Amino acid sequence: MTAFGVVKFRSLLLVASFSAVIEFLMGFADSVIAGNLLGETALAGLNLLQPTMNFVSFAACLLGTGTAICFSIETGRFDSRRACEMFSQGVWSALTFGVLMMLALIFGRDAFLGMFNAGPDVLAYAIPYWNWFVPCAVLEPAAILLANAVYADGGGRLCFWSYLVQLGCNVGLSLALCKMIGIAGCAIGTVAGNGMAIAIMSLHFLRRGNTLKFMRHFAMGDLLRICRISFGDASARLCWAALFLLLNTFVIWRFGVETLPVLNVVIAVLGLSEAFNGPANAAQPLVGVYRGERNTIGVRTVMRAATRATLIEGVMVAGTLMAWPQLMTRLVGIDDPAILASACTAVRFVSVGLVCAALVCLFNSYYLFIDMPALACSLTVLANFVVPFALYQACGRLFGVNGVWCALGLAPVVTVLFVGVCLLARYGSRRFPLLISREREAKLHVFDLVLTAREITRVSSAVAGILRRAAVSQSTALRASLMVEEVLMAVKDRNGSRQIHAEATLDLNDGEVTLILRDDGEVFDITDADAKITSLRTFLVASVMEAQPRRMNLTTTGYNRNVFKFSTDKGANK
Amino acid sequence: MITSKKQDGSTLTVSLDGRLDTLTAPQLETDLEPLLGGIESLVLDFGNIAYISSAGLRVLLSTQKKMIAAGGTLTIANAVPAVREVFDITGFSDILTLA
Repeated sequence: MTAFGVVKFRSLLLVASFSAVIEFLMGFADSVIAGNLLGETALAGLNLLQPTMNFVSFAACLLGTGTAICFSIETGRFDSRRACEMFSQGVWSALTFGVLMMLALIFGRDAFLGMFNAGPDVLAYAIPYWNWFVPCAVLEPAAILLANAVYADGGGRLCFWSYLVQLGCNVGLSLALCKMIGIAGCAIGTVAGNGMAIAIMSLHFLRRGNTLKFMRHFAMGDLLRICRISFGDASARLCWAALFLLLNTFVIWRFGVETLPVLNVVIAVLGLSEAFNGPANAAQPLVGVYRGERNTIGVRTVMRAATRATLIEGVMVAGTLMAWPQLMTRLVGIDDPAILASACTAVRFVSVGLVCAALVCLFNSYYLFIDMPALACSLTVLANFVVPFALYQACGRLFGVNGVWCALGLAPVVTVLFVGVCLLARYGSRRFPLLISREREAKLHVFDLVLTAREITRVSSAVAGILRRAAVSQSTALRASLMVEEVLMAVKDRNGSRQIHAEATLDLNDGEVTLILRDDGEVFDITDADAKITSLRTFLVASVMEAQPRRMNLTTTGYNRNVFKFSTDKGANK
Repeated sequence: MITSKKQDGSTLTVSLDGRLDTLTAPQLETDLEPLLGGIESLVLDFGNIAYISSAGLRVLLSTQKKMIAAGGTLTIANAVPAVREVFDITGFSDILTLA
């Protein structure tokens, strides 16, 4: 039987992976268009701006990821008001940061570009792009925050479409305008794409089942919580910004400005780790909710599926690039045979580390989910700055330009091995690599089922058996068992012949009995005691709900989730 | 489900065992059907029934309807407190005769 968490993970994975790939392509689109339409000098000009663009992404990610994780955790705790407060906090903060960054871009342009010894031909491309890119400082954080929040609220499909429209708008406008007004057209396309994405994702607020509500809320403590949680993830952008800045300088100084187009391709391949965010993004809302419930079995189940998906994606992409490196080099319009050969070698070297880079990406996100931001941050800094910096400095000096590419490929492998050994030594093999305690699992029981009468009664009977053996009162045992059968049968009846996956979690920790029922059927509130009575079953469900004061329903990532709490004492449920 | 049957004149006592749920309730209804002929008083001994769901309640309701139509009665005997609680919550304790 496939676990409910895995079923939900798979249903989110496709959209999450496509969205991640589109997100990567968006970051890469301007380089492709500039390289093909305007030539290699334009590509070099765009490369000078890479650290700035990474910094904007860093700020966007700092707020977007943390907001979505906090939203999921509060939703997992059934505190929808706090969840919406965290979302509102994220929105206000993104707008404030955006305006500040925009001012910094307006006034800091010449100082930044002056740091490089780039010629006027390269600057002729960098400056117009910079000027038109400025509005992205506000739009990108807003777009990323909305995408993360809408995704966590079950709007995965809408996110996918918004990404697709964003890419289409970005590429279409950039292509059209680039021919007319040069590289500024690429930047205008990027700005328009972000605007379109925001417009489309705003449709989520009109959707039935939307739990994202905007409130007037701003608390410094909440902002710090958001930043603390997402710093590990966002710091990847900051590390890239610093690494690419140093790498640009190192490559120009040691191998000449003609190496920049190859470096641009290498940076695109390194950026592919962004495209591996699919499994982490799909796992995030599920792990967040399981974490809120303190259901470590659920966390482990989802993460097992996410790791498997990450490895498959990593191997497939790395294999493809090793076999056909031209896929990347041709994309940016490199025609010169010498540069092309050098770029193909570079792509092959860098691809070696892609599987490990994908794992770093997943576990960085995971350590954020489980509230270990220091570890996530260390992993990010090691993988995206310290190890590649140390390796390319050494290998570049020893083996020339190919040594640099080789170092960048080996960096994620070295990081994974190093961090893996450290964590094994610190936490032991039983807790590695998820680092969660299994203490609660002795009193935690998870049943996965496809809704059929036989399966439902099997689980209902098993719940009664567990409670009987745990010496829980007969009344509680019967009520919990009854909830399983009646609620799940009501869900089954409501969904007709459609196959519905469900999960029943029985938690005997904390001196009480908690029953959590979730299903991927039609969204409705079974705990509503005033619901319309259409059968003896719905009558019994309504009667039991009325006599069961400790009940909650919350639509979570687009599925039904009902929680019932019972006392273990006899008669205490009344 | 049915563990024993004891007939004393026109009174039939049927002892039940286990869970009366979505799967077992239809079977009980089928098993009871041939036993109802010529019976004026049907007693269902619930002493060993630890669980009843809406499917079980539906069988009790339909059996009571048949008994009343034939001029007879249905009595639920020895129901454990947890099962009685279900009868109380749903108001079935006012409809059924509990002993």
